[in-house]
Amino acid sequence: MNILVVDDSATMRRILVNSIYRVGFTECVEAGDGKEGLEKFDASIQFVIADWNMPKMSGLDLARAIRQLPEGNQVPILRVTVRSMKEDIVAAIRAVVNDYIVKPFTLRVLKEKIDAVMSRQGAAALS
Amino acid sequence: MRAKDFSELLYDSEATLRLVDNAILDMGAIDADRQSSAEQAMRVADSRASSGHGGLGRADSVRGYSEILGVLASLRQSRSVLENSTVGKIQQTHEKLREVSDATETVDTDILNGLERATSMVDILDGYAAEHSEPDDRAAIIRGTLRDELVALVGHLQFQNITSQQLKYASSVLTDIEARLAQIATVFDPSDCGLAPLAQPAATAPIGPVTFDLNASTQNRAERQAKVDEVMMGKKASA
Repeated sequence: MNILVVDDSATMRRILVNSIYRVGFTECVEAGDGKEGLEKFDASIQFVIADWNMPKMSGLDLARAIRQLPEGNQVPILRVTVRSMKEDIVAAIRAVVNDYIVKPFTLRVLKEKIDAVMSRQGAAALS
Repeated sequence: MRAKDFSELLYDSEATLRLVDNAILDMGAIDADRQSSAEQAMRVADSRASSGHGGLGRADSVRGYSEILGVLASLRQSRSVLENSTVGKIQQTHEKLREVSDATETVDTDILNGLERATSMVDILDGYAAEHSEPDDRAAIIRGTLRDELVALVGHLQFQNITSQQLKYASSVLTDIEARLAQIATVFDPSDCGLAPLAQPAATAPIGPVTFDLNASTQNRAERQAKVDEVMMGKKASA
């Protein structure tokens, strides 16, 4: 599965990519902000993991932009952010983000969330 | 400047501004909606004094101007204190915070490089064991445990991203305070008094969208994730 990882912190991107490989995925595309993420998003991307606070384009705007694309309508989007206020979560849901991970995350939580989102997507596709 | 000194300075500044307000009210020269502007007050008072009208007795005028001059002297002194200590120290602190953030990022990257190399070595050991068909389960368990430890250490390096956001937030607060202090110190143009202008806030990189969050924290990870999950579940169920 090809996963798009978007975070303005190079360290955080490396940690995310390391973790993604560790939980069994083999392909990652990296982007340093929402704008670059949108440029790199195409039909080959099957999952998006994005930070919230980023220069040029926020993670929330990125999610909204992806949802406008024909190939981005159904792609799972996982938000990974330090923001955990209720209004942030509500805004993420409105932007049709599939799930939400609070930084700092553990490998176990990342795997659980990816699995859960994929499972829900699979169930929705079958129904 | 110590916190106590800073509090005293703020208190004194407030007190002097109140004195200005009172002096201007006593002179009866300003209407109510203009009282907040000391500069406007000064201009109106000057204009009225030079045109010779305004309804004040000479004794009142002298007393009013005398009080204002006293206030100005106090403000000049405050400006000098701000210039010599607070603004300079805020700029130094700003630089220190940036230095700490950069240093932790560099070290974080170095540690990450080392951990990735170490993890690769464990992978090589796994490959070596497979090639030689080593039937030693204990060694395989140790390699697995070692890999898990290394991966967990990589995860712990998220602290840098979070502390960096906390430092950026602290830095933004300092920048705001610096700008406000500069505004306070230039309420009365120092060049009018023959004083050097206040040092401008240090030039900083253009600020784009805020890329840090006030709530960034390394604390209570599990509790915050549980709260998020609860809200997500509730909202999705009601959607």
